[in-house]
Amino acid sequence: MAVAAIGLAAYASIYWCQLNDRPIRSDGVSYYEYLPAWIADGDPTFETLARDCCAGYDVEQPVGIHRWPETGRWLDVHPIGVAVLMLPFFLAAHALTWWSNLPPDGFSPYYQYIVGAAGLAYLVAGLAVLKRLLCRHFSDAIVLATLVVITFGTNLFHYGVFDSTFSHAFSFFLVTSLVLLTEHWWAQPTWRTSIALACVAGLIVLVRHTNGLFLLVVPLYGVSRWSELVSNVRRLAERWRIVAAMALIAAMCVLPQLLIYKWATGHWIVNAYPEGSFSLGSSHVVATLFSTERGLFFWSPLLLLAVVGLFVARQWARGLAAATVITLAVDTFLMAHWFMWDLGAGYGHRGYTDALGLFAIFIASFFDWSARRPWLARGVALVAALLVALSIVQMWQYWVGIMPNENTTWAQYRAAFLRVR
Amino acid sequence: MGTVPGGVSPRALIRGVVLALGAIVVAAAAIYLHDPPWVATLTTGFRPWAVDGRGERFRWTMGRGSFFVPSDATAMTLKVRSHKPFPPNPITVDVRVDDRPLTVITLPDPRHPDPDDWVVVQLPLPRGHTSRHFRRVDLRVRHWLDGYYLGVHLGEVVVERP
Repeated sequence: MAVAAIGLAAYASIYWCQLNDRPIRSDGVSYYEYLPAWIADGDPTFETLARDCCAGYDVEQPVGIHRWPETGRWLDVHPIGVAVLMLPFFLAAHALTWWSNLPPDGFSPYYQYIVGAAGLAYLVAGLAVLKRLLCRHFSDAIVLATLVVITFGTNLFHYGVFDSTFSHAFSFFLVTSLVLLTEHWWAQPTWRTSIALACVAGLIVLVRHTNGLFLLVVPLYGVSRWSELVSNVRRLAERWRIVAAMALIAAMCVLPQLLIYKWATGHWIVNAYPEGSFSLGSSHVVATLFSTERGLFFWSPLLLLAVVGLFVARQWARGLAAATVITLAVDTFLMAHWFMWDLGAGYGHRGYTDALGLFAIFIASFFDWSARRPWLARGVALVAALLVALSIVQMWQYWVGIMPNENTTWAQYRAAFLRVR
Repeated sequence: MGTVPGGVSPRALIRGVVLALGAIVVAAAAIYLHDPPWVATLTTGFRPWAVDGRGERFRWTMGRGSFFVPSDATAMTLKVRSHKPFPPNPITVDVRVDDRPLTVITLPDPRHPDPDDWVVVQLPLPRGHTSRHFRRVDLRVRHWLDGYYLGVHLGEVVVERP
């Protein structure tokens, strides 16, 4: 509730003070514009949306969609998952727009601000899921401290309120839900849990295809030794009927996206980005993790506590260490070899925001470990508080333009360090 | 915890009051938002106002733009010009009022006679029953060249009222 209140105040302030021009902007346009095309225009081919150029932008070409050369049909650069999750917010905005007789074009004010709040809603929902997950294994104080530092000590809050129509707050909610449901599913594979897990798995792929690797958490859950992996495989084989049904449900969730690809391009699976793709010859692993431009640990040093947490985790959390390390290692490899390894403009490395629910488990583990060592606990609390404060200052610097939104150099970082005006 | 006379518990009473207040707030918001006064100055789908060499104010249109006129207006005068001497033809401006088609303005060949000449169109506004103070006017402008959207100039809109 506190994060929701702070988030709403921040969201309102950002647009009241014109720190950002509009909520549906940049990548947010391409994630969202399925909804105006499908519902407001009634034209899923994007032809109407393209002709009514340009999604409220002062530009000369359609935004976020491009004609596929072989077919001449429009293809959105981003998949449909975020639009699916935004649907309730869009429908509310659409109804209110009709009621007030505003332009029902998908980009007039109610759409902007109501759909723009969807990212905040999924951030809060993701934190609620994370709280429920952590409360089963850690004390209330550890859970509260973890929720505070993961929200304000990383770029999570930023992607809930400032760039709230980007995919990251949505993925944070889904990946965190995946972990909670996986825990329930291994304990008791009821049909309800199985269907929910399958739908969440499908949505994770629909929001960001490469996030499909987070589904490794399901088979790797509780595995910290080879024998446990063998045991999991055996249990999956014993549950083969339910696993097959879940795979079918997840496939049904993904099917609309495949049909869109097939219709627009003639292929079932495509790289929708016209600008580039993966390149094994160009690796940016170190830059992805440590650079001033966009390094994960440079901009969110608090996440180093999660790295220590991987080594000191006990019991339940220890059973998630292998799954977390493997998924994040593959994720890092993918991002470091993507043609735009820094994912363009953004605060911190937004590619990792999706996985902050996993990081949170190991931050909680580290807090739990240090809480049992009184000589260490106060120092950890002080360091964590300072890193949260640093993150908040840097987020503010990004919002007001003191810090560049991409390609930050060490000299620029030093010149701007802790400046608030 | 005791109960108030009549058997209604304090908690149920508070819940009822909160629900009633919530319903009043929602109803008030719905009434206000059905005919919000701030739409009088609301426009979407246009670039900022600019002034041409003759001192006339205009706005570039985007593909779809909207503005509001008072609901008692009997007519409005639109001034439109293509400005750019590029050949795609015809350039059309589809005008709708409250989602009902009003007219389609077709601009002449932008190279001839002069792309900076205004096409002035006076449009009677049909008297439709409305409980609102403002009616929405939507423009859809088709002006493309080689995959690039150009738009047209819209001059100041003159509204006639009784």
